[in-house]
Amino acid sequence: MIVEVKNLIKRYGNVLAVDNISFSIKEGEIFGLLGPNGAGKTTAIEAIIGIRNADKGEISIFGKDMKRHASEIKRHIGIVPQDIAIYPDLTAYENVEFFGRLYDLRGPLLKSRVEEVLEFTGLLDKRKQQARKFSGGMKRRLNIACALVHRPSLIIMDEPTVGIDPQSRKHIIESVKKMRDEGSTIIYTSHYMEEVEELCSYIAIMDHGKIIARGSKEELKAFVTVEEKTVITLDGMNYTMVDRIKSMDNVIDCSVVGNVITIISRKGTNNLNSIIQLIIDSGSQIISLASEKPDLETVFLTLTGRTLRDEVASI
Amino acid sequence: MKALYIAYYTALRNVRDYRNLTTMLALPIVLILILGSALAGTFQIESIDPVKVVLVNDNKGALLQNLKEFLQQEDTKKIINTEPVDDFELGMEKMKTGKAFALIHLEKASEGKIDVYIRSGSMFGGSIVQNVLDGFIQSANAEYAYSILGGNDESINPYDTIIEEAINPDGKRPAGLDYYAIAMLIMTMMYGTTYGASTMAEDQFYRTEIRLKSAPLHPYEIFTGKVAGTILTLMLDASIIFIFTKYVYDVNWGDNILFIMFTCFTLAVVATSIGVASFMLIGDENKTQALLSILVPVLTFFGGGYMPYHTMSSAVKKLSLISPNYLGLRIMLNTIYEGSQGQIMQYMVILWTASLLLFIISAFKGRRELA
Repeated sequence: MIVEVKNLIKRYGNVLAVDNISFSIKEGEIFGLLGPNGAGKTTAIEAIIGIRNADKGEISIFGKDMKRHASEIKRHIGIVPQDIAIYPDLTAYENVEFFGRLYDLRGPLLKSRVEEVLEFTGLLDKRKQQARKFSGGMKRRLNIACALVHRPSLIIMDEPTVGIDPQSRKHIIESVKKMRDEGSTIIYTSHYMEEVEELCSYIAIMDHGKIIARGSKEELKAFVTVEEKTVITLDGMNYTMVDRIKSMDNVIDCSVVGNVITIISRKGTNNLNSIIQLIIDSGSQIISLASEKPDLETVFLTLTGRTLRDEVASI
Repeated sequence: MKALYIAYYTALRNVRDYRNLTTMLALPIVLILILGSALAGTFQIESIDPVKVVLVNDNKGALLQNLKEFLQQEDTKKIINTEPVDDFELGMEKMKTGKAFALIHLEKASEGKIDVYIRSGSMFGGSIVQNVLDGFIQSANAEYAYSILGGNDESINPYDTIIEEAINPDGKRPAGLDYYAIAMLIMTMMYGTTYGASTMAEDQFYRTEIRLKSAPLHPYEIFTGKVAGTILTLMLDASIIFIFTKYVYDVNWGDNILFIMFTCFTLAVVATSIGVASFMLIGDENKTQALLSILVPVLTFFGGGYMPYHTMSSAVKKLSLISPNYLGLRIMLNTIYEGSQGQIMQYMVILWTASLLLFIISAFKGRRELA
């Protein structure tokens, strides 16, 4: 295991920001920490990498105790903070160079690494430009470049795509995929479920400082879903066909309103092909079809009674 | 080593803040010219006519002879013009009518006692007479004390008590521009307190704090680097003002340039420590900047930055001692015009001790916050 966290607790006065969480991360895994703003994700991350002192708990990174070997462990961690953490009066090159120097990079090695990460984040041609002149998306990319210059074994990305344009978001997502393919271990926190779903192999959902669910995305979806719903619009209704659908295995219910059939099946039955074939055989024409599969939003909604987006919008 | 990199990039960022840099440099350069020209008269020493004094002698002893010889010395005559008068009442009359500023009376019955009467409203002239006689008496006392102890030191000469102390070997004194160049340079250094505060605050503002804390760095490396970066910036500012005033305004910075730069370094350390400690104690950059923007002009005023120190009232002069500007000003003036070495040492010790204390307080506060 690259990271092992046991019974981590962090308090701010009377507020329990992180409430006894435990998890572990395998090498080469993208570990998603999903939760609304204020769930405790950032505090948990900061406690794990030693920026904040935890009140209780054991943290082991690369098999070493974080308290005893903090300086050594930090050499191999790269952090992409939630807020853009760059110096606006320095150029893109100088920003990356400065943070590279803090990790003991010098001379030609430093130069090549700086150019490498600027290339990776698509900023090499803007290297001489001061960061204050960058767009929000470019600043986000520079934020990532500063974290990667020392080639960390563990990369922590805390909401790396907040408030940026779709083009920059796409670039960042692609960069993370590239890092994943190269075998990097990544902790990725976000309240954008699509990103977590797309990138992460293992996900923990946090709310009010606690991990309320964990597993692969399939496991999490399976955990909350008992039914699948398919809505089909036809050119005309054939009730013999409806009866035959109702009699299919794993179909719980089939209701008709006008030319629209709503079919409720048991989860994971994958009977959509059979239903479509039956409709075609009956001579009906399908106008439209919608299959509602559960996503992580549904999972979060089921677990907390709230949506991730609502939480974000209210902040 | 990493602290040095932090220092370099801190200074680089400060220098890139062109608006702030321009203010820091343009303001003193303009003020030196305005104040130095406008208040040039304050620094011109007018020629002083000898003070008229009447000497009434009722004593025929050795004291009279010595005092007479002393008063007839060429150096003394440049300061005091003595007119012997036989009658005390006549002498008093001359003083009352303004023909003399003071009356020196050697009483008949009193061995070794000299009475000095000063005309009311003649404080300046009176103080000259008093000081000249003090010099004579101190020398006489020293000779007497030495003779009691059995010595016979011919080196004690009452006539040597008047020594003209030139401000420097060439007899040069600070002109308006010279004085304000020093005062404004010090003011600029003290405005560096704002650099100290903003340097400490910037990593909170730019959110780079998390990067520094997650890097393999000790907190002391971050602290030392940031402090050194601020001092480096201020030394750069000081050097520009120094070079500009020396070659454009022809300001006299004396011969000991190295020590002047060391004094600038000391003041840079003082300013940084005040800025850093203020931010660490207040914890809010805006409030700290507001406090410092009031504090620096106040310290500059008490330090003789706007109004020359010698024109201040005695009450204000007492307050000056708490101003680092004043201490810095005295150190520089003493260095340039070869004044008191003791005062230079004393004020240096005060400035370094105060800085050290402020840094200790800041570091202690920083450690508590980190915990």
